[in-house]
Amino acid sequence: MKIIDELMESFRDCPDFIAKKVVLTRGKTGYLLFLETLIDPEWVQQRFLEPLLTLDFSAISASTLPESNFVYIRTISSPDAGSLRNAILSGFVILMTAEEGLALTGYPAEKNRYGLHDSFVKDLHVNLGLLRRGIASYNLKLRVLKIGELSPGKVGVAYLEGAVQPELLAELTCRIERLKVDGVVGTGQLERLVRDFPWSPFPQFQATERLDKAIAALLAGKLLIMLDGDPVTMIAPVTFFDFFQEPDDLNGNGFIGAFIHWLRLLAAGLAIFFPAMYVAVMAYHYYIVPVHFLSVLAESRVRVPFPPVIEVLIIETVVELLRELALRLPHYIGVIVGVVAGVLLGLAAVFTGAISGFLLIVSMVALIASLVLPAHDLNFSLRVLKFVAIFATALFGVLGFVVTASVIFAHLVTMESLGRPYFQPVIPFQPSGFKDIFIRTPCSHLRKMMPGLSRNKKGEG
Amino acid sequence: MTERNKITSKQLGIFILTAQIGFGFLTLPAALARDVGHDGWISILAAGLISSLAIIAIVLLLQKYAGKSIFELSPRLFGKLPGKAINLFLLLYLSYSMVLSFRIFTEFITLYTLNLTPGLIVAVLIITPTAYLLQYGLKPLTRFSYFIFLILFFILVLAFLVAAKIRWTFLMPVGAAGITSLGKSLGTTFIAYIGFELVAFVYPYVVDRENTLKWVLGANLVSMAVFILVFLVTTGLFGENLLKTQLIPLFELARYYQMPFVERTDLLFVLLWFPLVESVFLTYSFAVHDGLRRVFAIKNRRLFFPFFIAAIILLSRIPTDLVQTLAAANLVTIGGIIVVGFLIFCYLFSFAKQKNR
Repeated sequence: MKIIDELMESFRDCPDFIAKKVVLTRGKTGYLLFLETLIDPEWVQQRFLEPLLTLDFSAISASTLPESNFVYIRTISSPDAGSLRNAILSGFVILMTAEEGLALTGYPAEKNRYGLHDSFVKDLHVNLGLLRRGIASYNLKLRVLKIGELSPGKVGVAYLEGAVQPELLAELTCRIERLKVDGVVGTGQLERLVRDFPWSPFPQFQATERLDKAIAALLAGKLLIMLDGDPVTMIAPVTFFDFFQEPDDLNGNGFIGAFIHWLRLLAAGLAIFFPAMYVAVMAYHYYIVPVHFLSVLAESRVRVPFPPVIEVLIIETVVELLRELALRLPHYIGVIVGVVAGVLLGLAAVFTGAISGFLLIVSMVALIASLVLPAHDLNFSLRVLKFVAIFATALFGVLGFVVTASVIFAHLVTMESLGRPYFQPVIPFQPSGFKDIFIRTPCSHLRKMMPGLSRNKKGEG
Repeated sequence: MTERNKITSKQLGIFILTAQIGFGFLTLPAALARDVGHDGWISILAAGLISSLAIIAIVLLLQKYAGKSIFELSPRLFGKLPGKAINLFLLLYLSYSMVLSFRIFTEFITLYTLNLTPGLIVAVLIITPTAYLLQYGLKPLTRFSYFIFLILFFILVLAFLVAAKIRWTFLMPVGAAGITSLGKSLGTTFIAYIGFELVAFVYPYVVDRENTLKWVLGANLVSMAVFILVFLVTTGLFGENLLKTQLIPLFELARYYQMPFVERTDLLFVLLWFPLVESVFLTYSFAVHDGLRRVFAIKNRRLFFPFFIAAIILLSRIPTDLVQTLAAANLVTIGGIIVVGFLIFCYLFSFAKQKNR
């Protein structure tokens, strides 16, 4: 049947689309069509199919169907593919009889089988359903791939056809299919296997459990990598600046959004370089500091027995320990222990003269700055880079500092995520994306929902 | 990463702009003040126009033999053996400029930041970003040179901040230097523009070759504008006599401006300049690395690369001190002029060859 073929084509790469041939009474055949992520198959069986199968189909047509007998059911007399598609996406079940072009649709009483979620769950299938609620379009596709030889698992790559660049999809599926591993237990592990730069400290895919973030990413033409059994979903490709965005930023006032972006970028800079700057100034280039301030600085360090590097390393190690502690302990204990340990340790350290009060400020600012960032993954890389910067600065003063910054910059402009430049839209410069991140013109001027992938390849470089 | 070496004409323009502004430009105002006093800007303008003509000739030559670099062109124009000899000379020029620029870079870093650290250690340290980027080809390298825009922004801000204190009488009377000394100064000025000859070496990697002329000329004009601006500001502020005694007037300018709270603004500029000089050095080292591989058909990149980096560091240690290094740098000037002259000659020669056929 033409319509069925058309529908099959529309719902290509939609593993939740069910098109099942059924034999009705007196040898008549029909097709049962629905999306199993939106409707419980059991409901279809009991409340829809069973009563219908008892009907004598030779006697009914669109006009004569005793609608009163079937509260949930209505008929479409001359169905076309478009209206059926919409009905399926709105969560209807459709039974289409072969000859007469008659379609019966049923609408389930309880549509939200799993209740409302704003984050992903473990089941791949359910996750697809969650996405379908956000994007009611047959263009939302999920390509399911097998992974793992000893312990086979399922990986879903979700994308929005029309928004995504086909070569990106091909590249990602190719990379996943090429993998030869025994098994994958988490999405993060999968990311590490398929990323572009395996040795990079920066995250190359963005992990999220939030549905709104994932939907925004799909609309921007990105891919979602979902591993069956893991609620964490990976967004790819990403740029460095994506890690400074939150879905909520788009809801708020544009000016505030831009301000917050600048603030977060500043925070990233402080998180990496602030302690290193302290080392550079204290150990090598104290002449940068104005005289009035120099005396204050010197006073705070009068009783400190360690050279600046050791001092910084001590306090930074303690800060990192505290941070790990806050993660491991249950929330209510963690907060108290964190506060007590942080405040008491800090006070005692300054009071006894083990470290200078000024350094405590520096370290705390770096800590706060690193916690401001919305992306956890980036947070970790900044923490590591902070120590690299401290060591380089301790050895070579401001030159070590600049070399570290240059290498990080060089690395960022070299990196790619799924073959897309990581430092876009700044380098290579892309005016539209740049505007969205750093200036945030009023939303009416935004062409897309999320700044992200340019679809024109010309500006790329 | 696919096609790591492919760049657009726009990126080539930025690449050239970086090569021009990053290095020769630093000492230019002082050198010009010594040569022609406050009329240096006329010399900059004239040299800018000459270099633009040279760029037009070079790009037209390259467009005539689409997709070939000068290394492939010279055997084609002059025959196999002379072509090979010319290629060797070109490579020698590039390597010499690269090694020397690296040494000067090292010396300046030592001078401005780390007075006591041994030069070899500084060299190893500052080659790190280059070594990293060079592995990934031309594309990331040109992306790195986008840094120039930050520098240009700071130069503009600095010029704006000191603008009120400029004494225009320092620039009067116009043309006092006279035609002869202006003509003589062209050599000094021209060398600041050197960098555009790199077009001839990286041209095969450009994707949209039809726009190359536009972007490279544009880069040259931007360089000219920046040179003139900095010359006018430094001369107007310090006067030609003070300018003559300075080494890097731009840094003096930064030191001159008293920022509230932060002292030593010039250190900030030195820091900002680091990535820029790094990228100039990068542009040359890419040209050399690529040229060596082209001319000698080196296949094993992995083995070749560490030797290449080690060779740069060791060769750069040959001059004993800054004085010797700067003396050796004069050869770069001569070499640069010869190379540019040769490229223009190639263009003219290609017509003669066409006619003969």
